[in-house]
Amino acid sequence: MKASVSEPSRSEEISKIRSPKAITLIGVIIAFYILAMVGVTTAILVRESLQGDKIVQSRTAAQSFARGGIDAVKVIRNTNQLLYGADENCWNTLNDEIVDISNCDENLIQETYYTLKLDLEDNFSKLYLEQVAGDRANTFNPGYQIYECTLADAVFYANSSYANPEANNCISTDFYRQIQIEYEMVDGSPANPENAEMMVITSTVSWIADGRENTFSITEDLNRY
Amino acid sequence: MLSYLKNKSGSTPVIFMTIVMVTMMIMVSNLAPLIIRNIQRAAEMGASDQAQAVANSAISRAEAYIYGYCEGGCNYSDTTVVEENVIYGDYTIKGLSAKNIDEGDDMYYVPIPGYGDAGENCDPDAPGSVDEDCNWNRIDYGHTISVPLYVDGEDQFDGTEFYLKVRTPACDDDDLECSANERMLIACADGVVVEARNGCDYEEDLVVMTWRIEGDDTFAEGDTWTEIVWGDESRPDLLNSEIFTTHINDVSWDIPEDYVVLNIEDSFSGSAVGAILADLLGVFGSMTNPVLKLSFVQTIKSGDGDPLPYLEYQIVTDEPISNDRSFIEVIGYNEFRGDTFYWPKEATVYPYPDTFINYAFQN
Repeated sequence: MKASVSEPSRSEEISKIRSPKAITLIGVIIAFYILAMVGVTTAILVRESLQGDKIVQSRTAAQSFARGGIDAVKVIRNTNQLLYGADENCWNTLNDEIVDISNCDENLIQETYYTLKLDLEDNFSKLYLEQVAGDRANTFNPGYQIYECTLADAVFYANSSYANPEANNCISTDFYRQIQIEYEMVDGSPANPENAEMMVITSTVSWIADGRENTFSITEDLNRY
Repeated sequence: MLSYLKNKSGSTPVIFMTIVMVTMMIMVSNLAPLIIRNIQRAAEMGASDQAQAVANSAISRAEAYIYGYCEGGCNYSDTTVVEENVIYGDYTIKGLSAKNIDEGDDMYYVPIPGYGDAGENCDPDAPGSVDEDCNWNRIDYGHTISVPLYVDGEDQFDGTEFYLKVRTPACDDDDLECSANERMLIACADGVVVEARNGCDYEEDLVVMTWRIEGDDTFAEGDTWTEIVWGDESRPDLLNSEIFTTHINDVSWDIPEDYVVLNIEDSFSGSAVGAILADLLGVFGSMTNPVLKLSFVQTIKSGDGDPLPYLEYQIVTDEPISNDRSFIEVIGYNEFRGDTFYWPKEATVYPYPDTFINYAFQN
């Protein structure tokens, strides 16, 4: 008698694969694969979303700081005009007390780069421009760093007047604000601080995000009249 | 396919995950553009800020030009540039009287047609007839307006026609005592309303406005002096500097209403050489830098006893003069990533202060 050992036919193999257990296993593997794909995609998406949100926040803050720089210089000009008269020689002085308004040349804002400070020890009443130490043209000069300060339950952002801001309820931010002052005549020709008709202010805010340097600038002109 | 899978119990996780995947993909496809758009929007806000800043700069430049370079009124246009062809602002100054394109009479008007502040929603491109409110300015009680009767670069009025017009405000729609197209009447001091000129008693016919013209003149030997001239008769004669109650009523109601209270043929008195204004202001006039000043000096009421806080005025000439104020129109541009961001802005400058300058025609 011949024993017969038969090879499983192809149709039998297929029927094994199609058995409920096999299909469940393949389904689970595919499902996990899809889950993994979706999970990775979602993680990437969330990360990009947070980064995108941070970029938007940083840009918006930078634009606000830049606008604030222009407005602050405008306040200084307007204060000078109220104190000394419009179209007078002291319209473009630093916010210092002028003793002799017929001769304010020594107090004039010169053509260079400044940091804009708020006098925190004088009830926030005084904004003033100050030249910083080191490379003034470098927008990341530490002298341009903006601080978030808390004083009398109020939070505000400024280039602190404190020598050591961190010791006075101030936290350093990622932002640096540089104010550049230039002078022109109405027709755009160069002028000096004594005879200029226009002050050209460029407020540049710089910050680092993801290892990249970013800047945003606004330029605006003020007249002496 | 789905019906096949539905019949297989092991396919349930695949169906579930497929649904999850499709859902997530839809979310991804919607969220990604949203994030990108937000980043773009933040950058565009910055670009818009820069356009606004250069528009502010253009306003400043225009103001500086008016105060520094326009001795009389001037029309002028220029551009201020932050970055060539990228960030720049165009500004235009309108400071001269102009013709009324709808009237077509070749005369020049102050206010610039379509810019009058007696009207609302005015359109300079369609100013309407010269009697439309948009072609008249308001003058409030206690105020003085100054109008140089020359233009920047010249120092004389070289025309042959000059009219100063004054009128009362139009009646309110709900005023039953006068129709919509009529103008209010000013009550005399005793409350009586009289349309006819000099219809009130002299003491009751109060002076409401006064005019004067200030300028320079030069002796033959070259020295300059301050000339003081005025209307040559005492009120109630019209040839004086006093514009009184029934005078305004009369010119506002007389048919046809011309509203003229002063013209170049009127007489004057004073130190100037000549007899009528044309001797000073005309082609052969000797006065330089003449400035008309008109003051509203008396509180007035209507016949109902309601106060009239303002009157309206218009000046008509056959040669350009300065407008009493200068209009600045600017547009700041920023070409950013293929798009143009722009910021329009307008301003009005009153360059002529309410103070005596050099001379006066007055009564």
